Amino acid sequence: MASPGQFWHTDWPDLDPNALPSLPRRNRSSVSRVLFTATLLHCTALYAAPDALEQTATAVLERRCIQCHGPSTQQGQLDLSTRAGALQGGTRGPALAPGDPAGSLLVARIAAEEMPPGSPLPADERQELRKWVAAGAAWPEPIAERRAGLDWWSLQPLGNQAPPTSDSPPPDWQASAIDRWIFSGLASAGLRPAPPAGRRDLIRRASYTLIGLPPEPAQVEAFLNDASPDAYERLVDRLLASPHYGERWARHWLDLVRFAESEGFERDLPREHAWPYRDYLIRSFNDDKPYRRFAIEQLAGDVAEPVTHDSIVATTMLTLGAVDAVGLTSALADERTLIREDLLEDMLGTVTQTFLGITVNCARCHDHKFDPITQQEYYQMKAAFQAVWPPTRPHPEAGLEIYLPHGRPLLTPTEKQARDERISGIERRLEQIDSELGSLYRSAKPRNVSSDAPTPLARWTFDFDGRADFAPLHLRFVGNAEAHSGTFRKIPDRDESSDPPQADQDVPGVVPNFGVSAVIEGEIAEKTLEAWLEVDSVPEKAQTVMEIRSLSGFRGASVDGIRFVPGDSPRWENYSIGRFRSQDSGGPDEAPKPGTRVHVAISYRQDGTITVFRDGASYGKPYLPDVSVPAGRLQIYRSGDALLRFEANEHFRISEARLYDKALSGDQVASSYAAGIENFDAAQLRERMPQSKRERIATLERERERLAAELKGLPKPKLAYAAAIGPSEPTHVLLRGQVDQVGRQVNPAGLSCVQGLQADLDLSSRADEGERRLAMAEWIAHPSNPLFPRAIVNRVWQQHFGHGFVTNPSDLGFNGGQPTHPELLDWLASDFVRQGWSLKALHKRILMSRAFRQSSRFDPGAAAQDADNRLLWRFLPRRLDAESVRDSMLAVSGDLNRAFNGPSFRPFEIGEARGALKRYLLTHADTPDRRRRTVYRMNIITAGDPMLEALDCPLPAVKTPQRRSTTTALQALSLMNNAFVQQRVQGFSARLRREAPRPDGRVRRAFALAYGRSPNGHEMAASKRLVQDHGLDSLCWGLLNSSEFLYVR
Amino acid sequence: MFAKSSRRQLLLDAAGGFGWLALASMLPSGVLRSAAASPTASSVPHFKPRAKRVIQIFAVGGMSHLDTFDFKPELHQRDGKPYAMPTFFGQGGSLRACPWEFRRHGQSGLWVSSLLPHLAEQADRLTLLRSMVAKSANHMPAVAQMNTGFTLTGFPAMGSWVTYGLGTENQDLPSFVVLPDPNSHPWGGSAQWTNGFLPATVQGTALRTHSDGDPVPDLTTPDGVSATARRGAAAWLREMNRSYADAHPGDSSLKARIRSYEVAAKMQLSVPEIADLNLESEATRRLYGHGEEATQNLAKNCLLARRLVERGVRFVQIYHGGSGKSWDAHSNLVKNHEERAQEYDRPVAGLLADLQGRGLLEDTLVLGVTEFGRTPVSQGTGTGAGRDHHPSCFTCWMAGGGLSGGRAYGASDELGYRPASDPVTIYDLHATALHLLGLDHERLTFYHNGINRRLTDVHGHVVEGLIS
Repeated sequence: MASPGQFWHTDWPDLDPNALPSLPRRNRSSVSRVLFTATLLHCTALYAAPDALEQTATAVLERRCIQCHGPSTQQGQLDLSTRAGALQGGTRGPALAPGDPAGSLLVARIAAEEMPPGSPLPADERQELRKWVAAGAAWPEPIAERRAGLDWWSLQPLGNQAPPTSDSPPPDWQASAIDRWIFSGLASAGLRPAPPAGRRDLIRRASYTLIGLPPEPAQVEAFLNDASPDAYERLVDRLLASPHYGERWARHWLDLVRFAESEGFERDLPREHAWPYRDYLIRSFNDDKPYRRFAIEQLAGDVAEPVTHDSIVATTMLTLGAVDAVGLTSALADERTLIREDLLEDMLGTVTQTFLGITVNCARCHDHKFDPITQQEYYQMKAAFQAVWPPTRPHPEAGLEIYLPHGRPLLTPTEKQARDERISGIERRLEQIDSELGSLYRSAKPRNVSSDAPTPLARWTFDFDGRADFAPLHLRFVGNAEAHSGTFRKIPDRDESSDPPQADQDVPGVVPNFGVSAVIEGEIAEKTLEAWLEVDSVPEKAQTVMEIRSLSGFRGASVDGIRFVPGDSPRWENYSIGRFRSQDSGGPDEAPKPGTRVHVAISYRQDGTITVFRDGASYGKPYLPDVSVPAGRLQIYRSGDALLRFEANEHFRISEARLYDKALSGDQVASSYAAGIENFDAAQLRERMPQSKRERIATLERERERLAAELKGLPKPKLAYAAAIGPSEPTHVLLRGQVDQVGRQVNPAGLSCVQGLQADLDLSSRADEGERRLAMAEWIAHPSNPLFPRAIVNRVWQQHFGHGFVTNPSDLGFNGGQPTHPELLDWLASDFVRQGWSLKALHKRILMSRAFRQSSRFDPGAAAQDADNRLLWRFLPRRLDAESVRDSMLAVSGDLNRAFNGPSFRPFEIGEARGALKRYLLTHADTPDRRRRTVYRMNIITAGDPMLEALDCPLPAVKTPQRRSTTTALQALSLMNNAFVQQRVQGFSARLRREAPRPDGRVRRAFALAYGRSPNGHEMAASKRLVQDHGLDSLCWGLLNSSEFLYVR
Repeated sequence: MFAKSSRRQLLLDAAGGFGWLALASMLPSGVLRSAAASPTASSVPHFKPRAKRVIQIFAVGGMSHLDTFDFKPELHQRDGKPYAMPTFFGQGGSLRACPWEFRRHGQSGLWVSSLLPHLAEQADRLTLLRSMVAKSANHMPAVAQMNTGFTLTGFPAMGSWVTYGLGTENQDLPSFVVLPDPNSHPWGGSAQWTNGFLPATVQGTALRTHSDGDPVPDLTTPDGVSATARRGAAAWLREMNRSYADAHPGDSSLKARIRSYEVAAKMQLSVPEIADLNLESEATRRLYGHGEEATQNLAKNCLLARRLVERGVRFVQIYHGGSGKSWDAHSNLVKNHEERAQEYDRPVAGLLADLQGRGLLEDTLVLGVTEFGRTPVSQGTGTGAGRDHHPSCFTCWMAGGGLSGGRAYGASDELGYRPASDPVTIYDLHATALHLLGLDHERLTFYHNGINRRLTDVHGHVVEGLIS
């Protein structure tokens, strides 16, 4: 017998402490080997047998070299898996000279840190290899490649083996295919199943499994007293028909798809429109929507017929990853690209792990280390999702360098077309009206500024709209900005948050208030900005008034503008983002008085000199900005890449603004100021007109008002945080995953390793984004894709028994290991497809099995062989998950608010900002909405609930295919003292007082509600004593904290 | 008892937060073979550790290496000269000299600027890493990388990894404690100290000691519940849980649950005692700058950190700055860094001196980190000018943990723009810190969704030159 160290080394050189077997020795070569190969990655064969040099050395080769120089890859035509291969060598000649480290290329290239490329070996490993070569390079047997080939079990078509018949199970274990296989597995390990569970355990077990809530005492009693042979089956049917079933199973799904209702990263802004996806899931599970359709909707429901609001909402699955909104605006293009690639990897990882149980995302930088998936295939799959964005887009035209979470309007293509047509009809007419009104008003107004003053490129007088004179640089108003009686201003007294922008634009939910001009045609180099401002109040923060800015470059956009900077020395300044080119021109301290008018101009000369003017005179000194930029000192705005932007604010109204395409001299500014402006409001202009024109204006204004009302009255589409489709861009392989190393272009395709299904999606070269993504969705959910049903059947099994056939449910690849019962898994998968992809049918099959209905009786003998119960010699008892604990406390106390659907409840307030990060302050008010089931809690990344987290509720941003169940002191503290628990304790005792008048009855009722049973004599006595000495609350607290309440068995 | 239980459950049931590796090392060897047999189990820690615990002080926002620990005379020579380089905000500027004076300090003659006079007195205890390189120029991902090795959300923090590897040395405190800046959390918030996919036994616990309310969530018995009533109910509960556990032998977590309530009860007493800084002498509190406005917040957290590690807490993380006030000097570098340095200098120096005085520095690794440095060019001009984010070269420091101190490892180029020699990535920093704790960063792994994850991803080398 080998020493333990050697044993582990030769059989399982790398063991994950979490997945170690404790099966009997005789099984190790078969069962446990396949069970627990889960974990062969980075860890450490080599430390196992320090006395065996060759084992250490070959382990180093295996760990560091074989992936590239093994039998299947043979880079440089070198195969180091055998001694012969090493002696033969590759393109550079023999790799090994036994006994001569100095003459061995292997040793030399490692010593030179050329190999492995980019990650040189630690000194001790180098030393071991050298010693080993010096000692003759003993090489006992070929090094096996630790990776899956095309023959890996999960990639093969579903098997169709019949259930075993040879193990002569007891009669009641013969009816179900499940039981035959489970029994057979136990029998071959010399084990027997546990006896059937009692009915009390069974109803509690089925109830938690299917609906996540405890059975009512009356239901328990009815089930106990139901003598009919189908009592259990009717129980199962009732639970499957319960609307709470969808809530329970939606929560499992939310774990898989990292359901976060906030953006994460720097600011963690809330996503107000993610909850419809949760409701979509609940509905889909309750309706037993065929799983194939369910999958296709989540991948391409916006294009997969029949497109409905629900199917569009389904695509939220793609967009739930955390969004680095700030990084996406970085001026460093590579950083932006990297963040986008990270987002897509998260998307693709979620899609392939969830639906296929395969980690395609591991092939982003190199071919998959463990599964037969090439790097190119990663990019081919990514190509299908290349245009998918969260509905979180910047609005560069409005000058928003920020990404904010919003929603995608829920409009089917037909609805969208109808709506768009109606809107554009109205808008076209409004434009005509505006144009006619414009000419009417303009005709009544003197055209020239003044004979002496210089002529601007464009002028905005705000008499009645945002139209420009001299050039078609008309303003569009965004947010609460308007032209009002001859000034541009912020619309006063309007609650900004209550008026979201038009829903069918990608404008984020909170928009600053702007006037934005049309894009400027023609280059702008030298320039002057000029504005007449009406001071209403003095701002406390720097306030930009008017600016020219480039469209490209996000945060790196170029800007020049007029800005007021308060502080110790208040100034008018030239402003550039990040204060670049901004400089104090040395003008006097500025104290604008409310009720006065200020004239500010800034000129930008060819040589870069910037001059600020106030009230027609130079303000401070002209200066040359102390910078070097690609464009030189003067910022040149390219044709088609710049616009004017005015900020509407409560401090300064703009009476007139002008843009010149030359740097005005001091004299010119002075004459412009001297000529002044002539402000008209609309009424003044009308007075100058003949009657006929006035009447025409009145008619037009009436029509305008009517149309505007009609536009405003259009029902706003509902929103969801669903996939927003951006521009289609080609997908390229990124060499080593590096965003600056662009390789060949690829088109969408499936995985060629999946047997029995073509990877080619048969797409025409003209296929649009929707067709491409839909084709990918249909490939993933193809009836011949064996991964697709296997992954979901394994998950459903896992949620019934505590673990799946494969213990890593999102990895059916090499690292996930082999299934415990491969034939049964395939049988169930085939049956699932045959039953029309019905999850409820699958549930029922499992729930009706004897395997599920065995007791949780502990058997030390069986445990010594199979401590983790992988072979199912009993039903594995388990602690309730966090949501079930919370929901059960609500149910038992009678406080549960069973309202379905709708916006998430928010157990927090949003605190006053102390920086970029949203401050979510948890509060404990016991309001009705907070008594809803936990699945309706808003999943904010930084607003986790300490009690739920202590009960292993994961961070929403983490894909969690399997919950853990820890037992910690912090968990105990939460269950002891959390305000929610205290509220439920009080609710529970109030309920007992309502429902049972006498002490004995209260104790009995309390046990019935919490445990589904009566107290025994000792418990009754102890409990009555507790109530007598310390009150009914104490008993309720004890029950809600007790193991029997928190465990299901 | 362990032999009969599943190893998975052992890891999850550690009421006091044992790490798996620590647990394995505590078991008798006969038990090990069947219960926790693994190539690694027989040697925990992997190496002889030099440090047993960590205090990490995170200067949030990006402390300028050029104005604190990395003296660049060349910047003085070329002050005001244009220099083109890509930056986060995309606005180049001119090279800018450090506005503070650099001098040599201690016997080692380490260069430290006049921004940090007290810390400079500790020069002989400091090991400066002047060639740090980070991956992101953006706060949240960069802070996340320093904490978790990854720029994304959801990966376990270093404190969780260390606890997972080594477990705790105490039974009545969490083993990974976070002391946030009372003004604001760092970008990314509590996700910065998540246990990610590691079990909740190793989660970071943020102590709230600057405001009313429980320093640990749900620490105190709710108002309106009398101590006697709670004791009576707890006795009833213990009895019920014990008989339930007896009725269901073999389910080890039922016994762990009973233990967890015992530990929780101890925590209710021990945590308030630790948080009570009045138990420290006046002289000690003064050493940290406790009681003075500028230094009060960090002094409190630094002193608390010492009290925590004294009681066996494995990993304490202190934040200085957050998404509100921080070292993020885009504008007015002088004002920003003078204020931040004043807050930082005395408490941190006091902590080092205090640890030294109590003999704790020897086996406590103190890590002074920041997410990135700042650009050698200024952002903006004039008095209001700042420096932009600079991940391609910056300085972190270490002290204690068996390091000799009084030296600098790695060097930046003449402008402090890029490392000139011995670049140290964050992976390397993590690998080295783990090594000092006796952990092999390549063997500290946890399987999650297809990959055996590490703190160091697939990168990282122990910086031999730093620890030798």
